[in-house]
Amino acid sequence: MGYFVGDAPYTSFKGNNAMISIPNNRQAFITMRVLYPGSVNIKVGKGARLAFSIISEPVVNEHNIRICADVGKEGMCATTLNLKGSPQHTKLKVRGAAGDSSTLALNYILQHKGMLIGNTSTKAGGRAKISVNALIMPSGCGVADTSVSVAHAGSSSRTEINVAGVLHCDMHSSFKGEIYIPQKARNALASMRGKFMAAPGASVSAVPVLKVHSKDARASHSMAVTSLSEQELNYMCSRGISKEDAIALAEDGLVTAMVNRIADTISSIIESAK
Amino acid sequence: MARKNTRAGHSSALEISSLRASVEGKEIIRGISMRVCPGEIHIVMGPNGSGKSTLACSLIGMPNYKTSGKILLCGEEISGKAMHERSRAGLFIAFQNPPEIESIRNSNLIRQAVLAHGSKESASEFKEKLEGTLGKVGLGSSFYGRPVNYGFSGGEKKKNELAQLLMLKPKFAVLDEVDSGLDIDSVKKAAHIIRECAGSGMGIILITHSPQILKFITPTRVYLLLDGKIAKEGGKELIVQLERSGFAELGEQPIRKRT
Repeated sequence: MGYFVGDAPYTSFKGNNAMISIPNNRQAFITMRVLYPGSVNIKVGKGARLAFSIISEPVVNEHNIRICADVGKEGMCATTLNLKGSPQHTKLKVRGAAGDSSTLALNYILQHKGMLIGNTSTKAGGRAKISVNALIMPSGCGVADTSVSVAHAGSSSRTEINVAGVLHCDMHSSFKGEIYIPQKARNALASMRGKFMAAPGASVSAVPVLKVHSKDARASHSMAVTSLSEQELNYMCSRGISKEDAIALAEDGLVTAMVNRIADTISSIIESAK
Repeated sequence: MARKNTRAGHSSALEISSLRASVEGKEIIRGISMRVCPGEIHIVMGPNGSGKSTLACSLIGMPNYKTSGKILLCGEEISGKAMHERSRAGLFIAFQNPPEIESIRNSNLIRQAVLAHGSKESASEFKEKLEGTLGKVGLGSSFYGRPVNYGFSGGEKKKNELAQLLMLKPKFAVLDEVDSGLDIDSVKKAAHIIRECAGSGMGIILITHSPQILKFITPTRVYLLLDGKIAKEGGKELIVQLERSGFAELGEQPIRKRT
């Protein structure tokens, strides 16, 4: 499937399937470089910590990654997938389950060329926290068709979906985010935020879905497809910044904000592991 | 009324000749001529709707303002130039209502602006300079990394405009109500900054309708703008007359109702 960069404790391979199993109350920081289709199964024990980075640079035309992350009670896990390279088609399937009082962050930096179909589904136990943070910036004529769903399985669970996208001409992105809060998930809190900057010629479809059945849960969403407003652009031009540089600055700001958010999920694990 | 120009021709001046400006087909500025030399402070006053902000926006070249007439900056005609070109030529505007730009950090915007003006400072030199400038205008160091004007109070936005003025060091600055929303101490600070800038050779057009800041500034020239035209001009004594009589009476003509 690929190879590990540096140490790879608590890991084993079976063909193209990698298994990472962190024992209770242990910690690990693992980076893996993926060249071929395969899967990664992650199990984080009770009170354990894992920061796991996957750099996917496939050497094949048809690529396929499956990630399954299971975080035990009071465990913490941040998984960051950086998708690069130019396979014609990539399928990405991610499943995440956060046990009671655990924290799970699923982070994506999607810089692919070609077509990507990605699906992430997660489940949050009681008092668990799940965040899904995605930066979509395809290159060339990249297309991204992605969906994220979070389901609250326990009370006082917290979830957030954050998406940012920068699309230049001939790029297309469709995103569907779904939050499901059943009746039993009392005091659940969920949010979904998305901001896409699309240049002329690019297209974006962003659909937020909230399914809330618990009467004291709170769920919110905001999705925006935008470029700089005329007022913002004029302001920057009045400072001597050309229109092209102003747009690049705004895109850079969006990307930086999401990268910082992703970095925060990793640093919180490192801090708690000290 | 044509003002006799007793000074020798200055190719280093900002010269506005017969400027007219309309927005969405409505003429707002109806023939304004001014000459601002380096180091001078010209005050433009007038009631709401008289065209003061339109004058500012026309000078910087805002796209939806249709203008005619001439604007010469140090002998170079800038009337046909794009906004960013006018800025790089040495013209700055402090907006009355600066916009909030959530996606861009204050430091990044100002850094990009100074680079566009040809600065060769390193990133660390810039950081030190900007932090010092923010402190000088009365903003804390946290404003360095905050999104541009996002969540700033009205007064903080005005201070941020002054910080950008100090960082860009233009030849001429048009300050549109830069004193509004400021407490008395901040007004004094703003006036001090304006005097300092003029002292270093910057020509300034200060648009205001508050007499407070004018207690701390000695203007070169004062203009009363009424209905898009300069109705009266003079020295500091004009401010005293305005305070006594009000705009309309001093303009010696009834205010035309806009349709």
